[in-house]
Amino acid sequence: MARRPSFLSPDRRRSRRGVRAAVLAGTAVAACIGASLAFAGFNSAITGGPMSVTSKRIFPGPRVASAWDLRDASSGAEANSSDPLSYADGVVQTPSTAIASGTNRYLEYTFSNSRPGGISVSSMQFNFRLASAGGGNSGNGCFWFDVRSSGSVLATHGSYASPVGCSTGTTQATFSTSIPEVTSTDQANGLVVRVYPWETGGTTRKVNVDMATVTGATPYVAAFTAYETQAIDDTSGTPSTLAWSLATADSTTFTDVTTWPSAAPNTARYLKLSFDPTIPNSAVVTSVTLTNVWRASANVTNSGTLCYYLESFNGTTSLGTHGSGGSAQNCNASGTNNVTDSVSLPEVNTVTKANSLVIKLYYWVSPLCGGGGNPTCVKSVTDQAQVSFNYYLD
Amino acid sequence: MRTRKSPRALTRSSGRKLLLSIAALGAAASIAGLGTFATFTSSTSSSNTIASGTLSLTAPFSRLGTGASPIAAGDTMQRAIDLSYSGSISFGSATLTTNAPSSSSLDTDATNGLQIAIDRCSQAWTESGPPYTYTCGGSTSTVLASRAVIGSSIALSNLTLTAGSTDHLRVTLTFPSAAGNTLQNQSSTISYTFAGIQRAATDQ
Repeated sequence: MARRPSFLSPDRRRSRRGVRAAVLAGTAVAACIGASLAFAGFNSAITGGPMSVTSKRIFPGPRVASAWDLRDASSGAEANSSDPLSYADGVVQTPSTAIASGTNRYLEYTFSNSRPGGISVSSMQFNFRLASAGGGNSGNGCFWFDVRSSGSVLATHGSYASPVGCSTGTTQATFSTSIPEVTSTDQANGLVVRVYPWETGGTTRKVNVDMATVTGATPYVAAFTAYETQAIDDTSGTPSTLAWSLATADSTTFTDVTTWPSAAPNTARYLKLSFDPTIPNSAVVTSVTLTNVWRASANVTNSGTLCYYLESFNGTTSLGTHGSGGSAQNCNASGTNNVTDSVSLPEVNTVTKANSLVIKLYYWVSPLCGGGGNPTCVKSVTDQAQVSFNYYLD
Repeated sequence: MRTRKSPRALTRSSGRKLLLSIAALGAAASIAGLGTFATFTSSTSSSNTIASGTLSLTAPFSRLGTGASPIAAGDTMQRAIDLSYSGSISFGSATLTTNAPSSSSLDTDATNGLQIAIDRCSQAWTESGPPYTYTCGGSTSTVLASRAVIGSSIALSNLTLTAGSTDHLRVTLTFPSAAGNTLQNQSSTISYTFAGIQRAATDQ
């Protein structure tokens, strides 16, 4: 039979051949599927669940707060011995050296590590209160600052040309600056703020710093404050570190004003420690422990020793005592060697009690001090006073 | 009157015929393949009866639908499930496929997220709780060693798989102690699919 002549162009013929090839391939695949179906075995399946799993909003763990608010009633009358930088209370810290604009010398603050990690933060602010220290031909206190976390600068606020704020004369003024670059408690914990202050007077003068804090909120607490644990003064060009005495066990200590009573404690004479753990309202407090690192201000001789017991309060309401005038929590006769006491406070078992915790330490020299062959009465030296709050939030 | 087709129409018509022919050939090949490879064949003997069996996996008891909230690092969740091989044919193997219709780092973090392990007890687990825990009065064996909770067609070991029998399983989810704060406030939903395939073909 004669082949019928094609009336298609060469291009159209190639296209038709492609379609045929595709049809052939499809047919072959269909044949293979048919064959494979012939080989399929029996199978069966069962589904279980679904199972919903949710993790706690805050994992259990210890969060430590130092006693930034310290009242010394060793004399029988309370004196404010709190961290100078933690409160706008007129208790100021004066850097070592007068400082002028443009020197790039700084005050660097490291803030507390008291928040549970991994939580978002909002409304973060750096709160700085300063003024000129005054003196002849003095001016105003001004500053700018940068914010650092894990060794990196997160952001810079202001400059010598455009200060964040300037107080007027020697009148303290507070400047609260938003620091939105801090977005989580992982950054807020241990946050570092480096402040570049200067005094504008015709004669270069020092500045006084009344407060340096960081405030913010988390999804679980409406407001919290991070207090400084360490300040570095670089106004002289040689950095020197000044830690808050009660925040860390180091060489920086607090010595009370007056020697403690002889023979027995006096409940009107004490050291009063207040904490600000800011635990979320719905949290479950599982344990609270006080760490007190302390010694006598001098060796207590002639078989004498410095002793104390403590009382915990929910605000002003007594919760319990640990030790007593007849049975001390601990004693230490050394004027050089610290003892470390870890005192469990099981009576602090709710968020309200924890957030309002106040501890009074009642010291005395036993058995007697002062005169008649007795040891000299001594003061106490506190190296660290902090409370560890264990809690979680479902 | 018959009309003469144009050369173009003729070409299209012959092409269509060719395609239809090829398709018909393919279909025939398919059918031939099915016939050639089929497991059961008919006999010419009128007295022979051949009937296929059934393969059926069921879960007459399951706690897998019981969730857990809120969990912390180091927590474990035990849930029992009985797998019954209720058909007439034994299973050759079984697998587990898990997925998370509602996902979070609890299931996507293969290291610090949820880990799954499965044990088998030779008799029914003794349950206490909630929260559920289980003890085995017989002997235990590992069906699945600990691994990340999400996986596809994970092979299961030490199952009986015999038609008419039941395997008593305990599924344990562990939230690793090393789970960090990034795993706080997370929520996942885990679905489990146990699947089995028939035993190997034998002479019958």
